Amino acid sequence: MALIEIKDLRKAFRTPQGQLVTAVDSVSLSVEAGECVGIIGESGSGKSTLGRLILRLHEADSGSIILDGEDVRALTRQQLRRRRRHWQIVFQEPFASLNPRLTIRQIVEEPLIVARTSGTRADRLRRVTETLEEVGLSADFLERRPANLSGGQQQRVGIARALVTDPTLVVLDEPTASLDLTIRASILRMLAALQVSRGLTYVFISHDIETVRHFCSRVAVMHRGRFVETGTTRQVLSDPQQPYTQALMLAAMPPIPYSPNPAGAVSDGDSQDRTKAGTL
Amino acid sequence: MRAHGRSSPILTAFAAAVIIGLPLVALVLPLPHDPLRPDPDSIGIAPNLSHWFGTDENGMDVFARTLEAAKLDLPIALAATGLSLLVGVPLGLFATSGRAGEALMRIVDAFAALPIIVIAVVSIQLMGGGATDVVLAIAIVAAPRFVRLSRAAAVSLRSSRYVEAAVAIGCSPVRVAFNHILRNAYGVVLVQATLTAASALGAIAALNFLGVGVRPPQPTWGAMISDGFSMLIRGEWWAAAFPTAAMLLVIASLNIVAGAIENRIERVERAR
Repeated sequence: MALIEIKDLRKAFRTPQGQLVTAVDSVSLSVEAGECVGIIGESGSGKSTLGRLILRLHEADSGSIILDGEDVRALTRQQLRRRRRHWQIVFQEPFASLNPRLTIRQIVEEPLIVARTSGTRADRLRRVTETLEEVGLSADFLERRPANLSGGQQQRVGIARALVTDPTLVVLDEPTASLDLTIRASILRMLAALQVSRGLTYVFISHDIETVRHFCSRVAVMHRGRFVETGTTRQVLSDPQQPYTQALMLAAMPPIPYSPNPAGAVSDGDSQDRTKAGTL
Repeated sequence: MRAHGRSSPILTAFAAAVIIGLPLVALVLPLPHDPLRPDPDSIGIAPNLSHWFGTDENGMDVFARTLEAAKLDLPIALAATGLSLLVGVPLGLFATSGRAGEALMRIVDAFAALPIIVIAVVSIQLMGGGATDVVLAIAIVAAPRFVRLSRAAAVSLRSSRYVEAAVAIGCSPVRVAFNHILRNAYGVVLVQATLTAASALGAIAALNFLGVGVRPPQPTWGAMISDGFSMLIRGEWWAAAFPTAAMLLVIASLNIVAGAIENRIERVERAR
């Protein structure tokens, strides 16, 4: 059975001027466990709203969301809070998503505290340390605060916070969009490795076609709140059927043809990824 | 009433010592004269070696009474501040949306529109006039400020990413409010609390001066100033001057502490 089953999801916001703006319109989506599905579209297309609707961080107006066989929209607030440990999210702005007053230990520990899982403080600290290690941060970071970390490190903390409770589903809301190109590649590689080692299901929200191309197996193209095209990544991105997808492809930066120019190479990670993109 | 500029650590330490020390001194050290016993033989004596601050028109020692008054004034001011914090902050944190929240804010606005002293006098007239009634009256006046302040923080932080993240990991509304919102706004609340304590002292004095509030024989600075006022006309300045000085010293100290807290917040913020 699919891990995510969304049917006819709809959400409209009211602007301060009183206008009704439809952010998500009749969206249906089915995601198998262990899959990584990309949601791609320009800003304002409703892709971030969709991610929040799936986790019920926003309330949908109509439609149904089934996660893990559970009707998310029918859960009471308290039931929903209990389930949140299984369905996590990583945000686009790493610094803004971390409480500046808390230490890294406190930030990564909090999901365990509110989930009331493993008993003692020592157990929790062990889990926190292990998870931080998994995302490439040593125990030295435990007592630091977000402001003392680089953007990449901050996002690793955000990922650790999402993973510490052993979730099945992680919504990645443009997790690398605000990072340097060089860091982007290493974070993406780490996320891909974590997906395999932990058997995670990803919903990967992005506006960057190249990232989605090598990160996701399936992709949905979103435009004005609707899915205009869905299919396997190869299908959709190498042979786009819809005019909007074609326009989106054209608007994206064309893949740089590989040139053996050492001076032009930005860094290892980055140039490797570009090469891969070109050959896919 | 905002403190500006850099505060020196020595001044801050002195200010803190005044606030904490004054009532302690009154409690622990023996007073040179009984602050409550009138002495018909020594009425209106100017400051001398026996009566350091002189005596008032009842022949009571002004030095002893000034210290004795600290035992009443400061606890009332602090209790009133504490009470308005306890009531105002949670109300503000949770009244961010919905009809109840809107209704509460209209009440707060209404309170803000009325002169403070009028509210205090009316509520004391309704309640009686003991020390607890004074505490309640001042808390009624001060609590709305904390409601506003913490609500403003809650509204602005409610839409922040890290509060959204806190909801996403399953935090309860209470945990979000205290661990995430208040934790990022407690500095301004603390500054407001210190300033509230300072203005509470003024309010206690004003109430006494108007003849409501704590009744004799217990001295308060306000009552002492009110009594000493009538002696000024005869050139007997000391009965009003010393309690005034004591009150101003404490109010200034509270403002200095508020300024120091504000400075610290700014430094922390800049260090980010």
